[in-house]
Amino acid sequence: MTGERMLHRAVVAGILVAVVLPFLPIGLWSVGHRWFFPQLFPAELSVRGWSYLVSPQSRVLPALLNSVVIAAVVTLINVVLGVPAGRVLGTARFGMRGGIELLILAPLIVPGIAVIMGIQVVFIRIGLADTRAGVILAHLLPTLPYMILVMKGVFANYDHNYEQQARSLGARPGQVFAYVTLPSVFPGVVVGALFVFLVSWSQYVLTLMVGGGRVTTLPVLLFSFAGSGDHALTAVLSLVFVLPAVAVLAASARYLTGRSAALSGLGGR
Amino acid sequence: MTEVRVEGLTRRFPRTDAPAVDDISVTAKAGELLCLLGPSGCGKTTTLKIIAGLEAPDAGHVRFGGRDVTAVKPELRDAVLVFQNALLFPFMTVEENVGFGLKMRRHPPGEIRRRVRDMLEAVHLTGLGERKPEELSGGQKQRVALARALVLEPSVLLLDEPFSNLDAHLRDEMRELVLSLKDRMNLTVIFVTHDQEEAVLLGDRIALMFDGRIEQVGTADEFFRRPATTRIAAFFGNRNVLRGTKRGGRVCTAVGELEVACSDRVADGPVHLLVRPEYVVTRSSVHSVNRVPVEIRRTTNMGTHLRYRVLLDTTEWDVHTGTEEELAGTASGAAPPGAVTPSGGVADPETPLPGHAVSGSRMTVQLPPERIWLVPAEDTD
Repeated sequence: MTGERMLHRAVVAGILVAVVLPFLPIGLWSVGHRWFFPQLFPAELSVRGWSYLVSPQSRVLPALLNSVVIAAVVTLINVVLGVPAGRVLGTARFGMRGGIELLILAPLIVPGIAVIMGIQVVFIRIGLADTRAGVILAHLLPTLPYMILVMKGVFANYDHNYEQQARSLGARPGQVFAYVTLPSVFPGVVVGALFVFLVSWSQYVLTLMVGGGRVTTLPVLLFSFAGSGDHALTAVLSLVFVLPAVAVLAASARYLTGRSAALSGLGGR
Repeated sequence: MTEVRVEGLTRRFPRTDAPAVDDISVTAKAGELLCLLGPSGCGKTTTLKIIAGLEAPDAGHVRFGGRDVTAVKPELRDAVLVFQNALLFPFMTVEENVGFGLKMRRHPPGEIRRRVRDMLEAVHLTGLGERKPEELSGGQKQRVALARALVLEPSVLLLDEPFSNLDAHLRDEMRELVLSLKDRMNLTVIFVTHDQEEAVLLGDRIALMFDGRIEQVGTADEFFRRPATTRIAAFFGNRNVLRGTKRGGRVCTAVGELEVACSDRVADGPVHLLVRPEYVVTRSSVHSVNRVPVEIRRTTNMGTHLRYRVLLDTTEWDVHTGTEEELAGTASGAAPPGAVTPSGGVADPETPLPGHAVSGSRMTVQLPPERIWLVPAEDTD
C-alpha cells in the first residue's frame, strides 16, 4: 500500500513539475531587463513589461476584452447548437445519421486554413470581414464539431426513462428540460463548454484572417510582440494569456469531481 | 377509486409496423390490483406506458372512471408510473426526489415538506431524507420511487416490474408494502410482471399477455385450474398434456380411453387433456378408472413433496405427491426406488424417503376424471 502511495505521489509531483516548470523561465523573462546568453539569471530586474500591461496606451486590455467576449459568445452559441444536436445524434436512430456525423466532423478533418480563404471572400461580400461577429462565426468552425461530439457521448449514456418518469410525476415538457435533462447533462455541458472556450481563446489563424488585424485578440497581440523580439512584453502577455485558462480549468475540475457521481449516476446501470 | 378501462388498444413498432400491442381490451376495477403478466417482449410494458400517457396508441382508448383520457398528457393524468429501476434523480436528495412531483405542480414548500415527511414515514424511510440516491440500498431506492409516486395521491398506480432487481426477501417486503398502501390510499393498481408467482401473490386478477394480445383474464385459481390453452397452462407450471379425441364423456388417447367429468364444456373432436402435476394420483385409491402406466425417469425429494419425472406414452409429465401420502400408500405397481413399505400411515422421521434417483422402473398412475381439464386442440400445437 505504501509503495503504491509513494508511486502516486511521485506521479503527481512529476506532472506538477512538467506543468509548472516551463512557466519559471517565462516568469523570469517577464521581469528580466538585460538577460544575455551565459547568464543563468537576468542581470537586472524591471517591471517594464508589467507596467505596460496596465498603462493607458496598452493594447493588452482591449485585446483581453476582445478575447473574453469572443470566446464567451462562441461558447454560448456552441452550447445552444451543440446540446440539441448531440441529443439527436446520441439518442435517435435514423438512416442519415452516419452521413450527418461525417459532415459535422468534416471541419476537424479539413484544416481551417484551407476553407477560411473562401469564407473570407464571402465575409467581405456580406460585410462580416474585419468584424467581431465574423471572427465569432469563424471560431465555430473548429469548436462546434467537438461540442457536438462531447454532447453526443453524454446523451448516448443518458437514460431517457428519467424524462418519462418526470412526465409521469407531473412535470410539463419545459419543466422536464429545466429540472431533469439539464441537470443530468450539465457536467457534460461544462466539459464541452470549457473545451470550446479554450479552443476559441487560443485561436490565432482564423482570427487574423477574418479579423484582418482589426479584431485584436490576445493571441494576435502575442504573435506580434513575439515577432518584435520584446521578450519581457511577450512573457507578460504569455502569462496573462495562460492565467484565465488555468483558473477556469481549476475551478471546473473542482466542480466536476463533486459532480462526477451525478455523471455516472445517469450512465445507465 | 377509479376504474381503468382499456379498449381496443393497438400500438405498432415504428419500423416494422408489426403490432407490439394488438387490439387489447381489459379493465382494472376500481380499487383492484390487476397484474399484467407475460414473458418479456409481449407488450405489457408498452401497454402500461400507453395507460400512463407516455406513449400514444395507434388505435383504441384509455378510460379512467369512464372519462376518456387517451389524448390527455401524462402530467395531467391521475396516474403515476414507477419503473423497473428506481430512476431516482441522482442530483437530488431523497426528500427532493419525493417532493419532485409536488414541486412541479407548484404546491407551497411548507406543504411539500410535510407531505414528503409523511410519505417517507409510510414507506419506513424516516430520517433518510437528506441522503443522496447513491447512498441507498436497492430496496430503499425502490421505496423512495414508490413514495415519490404515492405522495401525489394518484388514484391509479402503474408499476412496471418494480421489484425484479431486488433480493427475494426484499421483494416479499415490498409486495406487502404495496398491498397495504393500496388499501390505505384507495388505489387502483396495474402491476406488470413476467413472474407468474408474483402475479399470483399480488393480483386480485391477472391478465396474461402473449405476443401483444391478452390471452386470458381471471383470478389465479382460474389460471391454475381452468387455463384456456396449453400455452397458458404451461406458463402456470402445467406441462402435462395428452392429445386425444373427445367423444361425449370419454377421450380416446394413445394410452387408452379416459373418462372425463367436464365433458360438456368442450365440443367433441380433437382436444388436449391436461392434469396438473399435483392432481395425478400415484397411490392406489378409490379410483378404478383412468389407470395409466408410466415409466419413471427421475425422482426428486423436494422436502415438501416428491417430484416424479415420468414418461406417459411419448410425453414427459410431472407428478407431485405429498411425502406423507407417499408413505401412507405406496404407488401402485412397482414401488418407487428407495420407497419403504408403509407402516401405519405416519411418516417415521427415521424412515428414509426416496431421495434424488434416476430410474427406469414403471408404475401406474391415475388421472381422476374430475381433475382432467380439456382445451380444444389448437392447430399450432
